[in-house]
Amino acid sequence: MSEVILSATGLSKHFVGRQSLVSKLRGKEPLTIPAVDGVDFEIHAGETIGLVGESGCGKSTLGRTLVGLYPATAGELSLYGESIGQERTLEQRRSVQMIFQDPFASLNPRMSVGDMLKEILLFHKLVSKEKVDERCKELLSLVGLPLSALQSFPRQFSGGQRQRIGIARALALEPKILIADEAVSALDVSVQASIVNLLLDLKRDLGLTMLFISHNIAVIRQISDQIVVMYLGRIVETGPTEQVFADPQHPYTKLLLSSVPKMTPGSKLGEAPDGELPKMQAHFQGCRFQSRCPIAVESCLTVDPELLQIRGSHHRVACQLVH
Amino acid sequence: MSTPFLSVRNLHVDIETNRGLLKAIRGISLDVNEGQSIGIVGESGSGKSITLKAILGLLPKNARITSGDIFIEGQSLFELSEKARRQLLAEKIGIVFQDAIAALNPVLTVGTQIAEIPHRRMGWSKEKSRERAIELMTLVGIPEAEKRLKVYPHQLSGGLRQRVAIAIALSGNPRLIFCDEPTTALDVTIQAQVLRLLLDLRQKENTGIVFVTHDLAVVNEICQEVNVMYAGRFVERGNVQDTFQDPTHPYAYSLLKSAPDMDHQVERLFSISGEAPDLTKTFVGCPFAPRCFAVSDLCRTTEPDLLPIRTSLSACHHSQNYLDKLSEARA
Ligand SMILES: Nc1ncnc2c1ncn2[C@@H]1O[C@H](COP(=O)(O)OP(=O)(O)O)[C@@H](O)[C@H]1O
Ligand SMILES: Nc1ncnc2c1ncn2[C@@H]1O[C@H](COP(=O)(O)OP(=O)(O)O)[C@@H](O)[C@H]1O
Ligand SMILES: [Mg+2]
Ligand SMILES: [Mg+2]
Repeated sequence: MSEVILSATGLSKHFVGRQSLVSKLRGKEPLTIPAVDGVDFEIHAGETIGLVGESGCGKSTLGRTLVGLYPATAGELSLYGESIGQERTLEQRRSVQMIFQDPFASLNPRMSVGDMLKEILLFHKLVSKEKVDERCKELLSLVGLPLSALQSFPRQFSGGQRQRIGIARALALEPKILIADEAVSALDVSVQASIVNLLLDLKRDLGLTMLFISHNIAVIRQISDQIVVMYLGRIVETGPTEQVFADPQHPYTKLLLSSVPKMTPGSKLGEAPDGELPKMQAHFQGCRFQSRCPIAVESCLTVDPELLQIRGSHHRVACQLVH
Repeated sequence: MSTPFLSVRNLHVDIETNRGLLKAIRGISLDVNEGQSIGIVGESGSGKSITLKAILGLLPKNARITSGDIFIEGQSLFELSEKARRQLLAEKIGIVFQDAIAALNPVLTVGTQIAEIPHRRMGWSKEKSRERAIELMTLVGIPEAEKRLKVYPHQLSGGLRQRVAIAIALSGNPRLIFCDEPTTALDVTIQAQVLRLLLDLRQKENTGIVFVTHDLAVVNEICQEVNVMYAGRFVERGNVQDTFQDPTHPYAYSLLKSAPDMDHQVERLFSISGEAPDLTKTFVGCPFAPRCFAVSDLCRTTEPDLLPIRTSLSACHHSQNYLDKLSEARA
């Protein structure tokens, strides 16, 4: 396998909930939300990892912790084997970039696309003043936008084009890894397809390394080499995409994959077991999936399963009934 | 042939916008038979929601039906008084929208809301309406229905709220339910439960469904017929199995190809360049022509009608040609 670019060990991000005065006076502990609760994984050069799971399982929190938007509560994070402290160097910040579902929110409406790119390139001293215009043009063609876009403002673009601008801005920083959080989720399928294709091209042409976060499992399948499945702040299964789709091991992964509507003609939706996603709790006892698990046994109520390799492969599963 | 339960004939809807008059619906016809499940798919802005709202008489103030007719069991809605029309629609068609929280009243308990139609409109006693509410809640899979009568919408999860909305939609014993993206805001495992519920209802109660969504795979799973909408018209109609196998319209083909399938990984997804036309501007020819891979001169001058081809209807001058090529390629 290729070089490890980013690795997380025991990474956690807990939010401390707001507390009413009454509960404070009563000396109660504030409620903590273990949005990301002890996750281990590695991202290798040139690889795309797809992060899936239902809303509230901690995908965005994990992404934001990796780029440094949130300080980690616990655990280790390293880039090229070098540990990242709470205060990141400029270089480290530049190395991990993120794109969002709504690129518009993160673009300055009063700045033309050209000025925005220039500012970033010059601030980070990525090119000389003489070369900056040329680099801007290169970035636009990289993301499939016409050169005329340089003079235009964000509001003049459609959703798909704005996402391309967001990608161009992230790429301007020459990141080692790009984190895409629901980057295609708000787009219509035809536009979504073109952005997915763009990311696939960038991966092939630039060797782009990516963490692709999405609740859309069909998109994840198209784009990812490895997938990571999260449930209530934990990774429950991870492995090569093809292997996990062909032979999911964790009961949650099985439920998730079987719930996805299929495009195959004649496909008929199977049984859909009852059950709801439980709320995040400060402390979980036993396996977090146990309340919805069709195969749970008594020990699942008490034993917190570890993410362990199966069959000596890169496929790892956190279920004591699988091992 | 018997009269369809719902029949829409050549419906046109215009919307007054700040950019000018928008020809949102440009002549659509649709028949829904008793117990049938019909999907309407298309990208955002194609006119799916406006179609449903026009039928239900729920158009926004700046929109109006400019021509066409709508029949329920053979009765033209436009021949009825406003009051009679509303009553007929409320009796025959239930509605479930995407945003259950907006559709529910935050200050009334879910029990009160589900019992309202039986009590108010159907004149049932309080006690009987309450029992009906429990029955409906059980039918839509809300556990501990009796206990949950007294909760307020915000106390429920998104999935349960959507079930409450479905229970309300069913409370007047409608023969047909209109669903507008009812599962789009739900997580996929909860979506599967709600879709399963709709399938079961159709089977048990023979309730017809008109299901509007941008998600092709959902239509594939739960509908018998699919209507593909583009720029305010249906461009393809067919049974789901045939259309998903061999779409007859290039837009339907492109849309199907661009949707990622969770069962298969492909090298690249098919993408459609360009954008749908701005319907506040006049255009000539086929609205899909500028984006179409099978375009010809004819397409740039004449908008095609929706015409039969094999088991489907297609609004394309080249459907036959295109199907021939497809079977050649297969051979
Ligand atoms: N800024 C925040 N403050 C408090 N709680 C948060 C914050 N962001 C997320 N959470 C909580 O953390 C959990 C994980 O959220 P998130 O990472 O957004 O999930 P996902 O992206 O998978 O939908 C949820 O329970 C959410 O309510
Ligand atoms: N209240 C409104 N005012 C102005 N334009 C509207 C309004 N509602 C819908 N439209 C326009 O009508 C067209 C069809 O909209 P809609 O039926 O909501 O699309 P869909 O449901 O397929 O996404 C779009 O161009 C949309 O912008
Ligand atoms: Mg998120
Ligand atoms: Mg709509």
